[in-house]
Amino acid sequence: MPRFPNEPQYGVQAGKPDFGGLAKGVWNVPYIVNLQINAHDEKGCQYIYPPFTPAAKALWEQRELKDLEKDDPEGFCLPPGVPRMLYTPYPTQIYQMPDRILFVFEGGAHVWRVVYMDGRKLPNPDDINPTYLGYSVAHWDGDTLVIESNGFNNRTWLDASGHPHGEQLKVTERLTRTDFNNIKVEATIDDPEFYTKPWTVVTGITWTPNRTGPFTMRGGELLEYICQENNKDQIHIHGVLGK
Amino acid sequence: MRSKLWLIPAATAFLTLLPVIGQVANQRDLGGPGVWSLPNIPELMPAGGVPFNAKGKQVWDERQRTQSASDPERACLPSGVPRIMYMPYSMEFLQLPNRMVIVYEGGTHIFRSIPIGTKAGLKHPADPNPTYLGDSYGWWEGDSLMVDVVGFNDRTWLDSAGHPHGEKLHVVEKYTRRDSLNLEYTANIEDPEYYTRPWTVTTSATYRPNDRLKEYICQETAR
Repeated sequence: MPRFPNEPQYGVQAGKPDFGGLAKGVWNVPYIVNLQINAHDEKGCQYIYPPFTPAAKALWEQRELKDLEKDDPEGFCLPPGVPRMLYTPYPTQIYQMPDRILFVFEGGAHVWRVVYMDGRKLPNPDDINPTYLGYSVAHWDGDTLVIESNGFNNRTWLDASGHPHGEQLKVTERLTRTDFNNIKVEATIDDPEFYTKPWTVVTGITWTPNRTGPFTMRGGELLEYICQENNKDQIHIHGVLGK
Repeated sequence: MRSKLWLIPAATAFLTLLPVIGQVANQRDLGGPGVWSLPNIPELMPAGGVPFNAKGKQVWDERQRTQSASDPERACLPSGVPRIMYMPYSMEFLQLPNRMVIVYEGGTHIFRSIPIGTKAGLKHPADPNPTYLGDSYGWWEGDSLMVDVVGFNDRTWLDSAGHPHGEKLHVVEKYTRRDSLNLEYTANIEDPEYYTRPWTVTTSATYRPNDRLKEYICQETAR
């Protein structure tokens, strides 16, 4: 009996939820401009601000309120980073293999992200070259996929509004296929350089199966979006007028 | 007496590789814990020469005259197919039952996701949106992976030297794993807009066991 109405019979990762990698379709990714709208404290209250350090708050205010996001690295076609890959409005496909999971993204300059599931541990971030997408390993917690990542560079923003992070960033993403059409994405951001405690952002991605008709013309596949093809807008964006 | 010291690194290299050279259990298995190193071929030189037509020769001569200055790959755009197989960045195959995903270190950290079916099932969209990487469809022929690609845009070059192609480009790729360390690659190039007949690119890839792809983001400082 399939766990979901039309879960494929083939189970690459036995007994575990399928994320649709063998089906024709894509996961639609929401456009989350400001993470704190989706973040709540321990009492369930929405954060007015995430638990910034004073320096982080000043940096965020500079980026968002004064510079009006003009320096967003994603605007220069650099990879959005983690967890922001799942907040750009470009779809993704998730391929499960016995020893790893591969995310392929329409946005973020048509990039891929590999998550190892062969039992290896996260490296000591001092031992690896800092990267945009970091180093990711995952395990199952019941039916929830838990992805832990570190080894990031400090060249991405956590969202379009400019929530900062540094090289000490550690992200824990929990992906739960709550029903056939939805994956809940809970991302915990842990970066003592910019935040006084870890905080969690809850979003979701939704399934679009292969359809024909006026609303879906992608044939169940990602389109080819090459951000850097003709990227000319960003350099014309200015911050607050007169500043 | 001439030094034979060079024998030491040579023998070390040989002995290091010795245990892993050999037949693979399944030649259709292109994956595994490692990556494929790709060669750098700046200029394709097929036996018998490149069969330019008049228009192809004209574009080629212009790109030679300008010393390939307008190579789109330098603007960090995807290299296209088959050129991504001879840019000097590694790649990895990830095999699913119904598709072959190829992830590349170069060409701006991109991927190709190729549906795999039967040769009889070969079908492309009737009028695909032209793209850098085209519309791919693959099947197994013996132990070779065949990939048929159409639907390209005309914004890539076939190599750094500047061999041109247009939107009519049709590429048939053939990947054959000869042994544990070697992959043969041929690409048949057909584009009546620039060439008088189809011609073939032949190259290869070598396996680096237990290695992983690095993150190379071309556009990082290209602005």
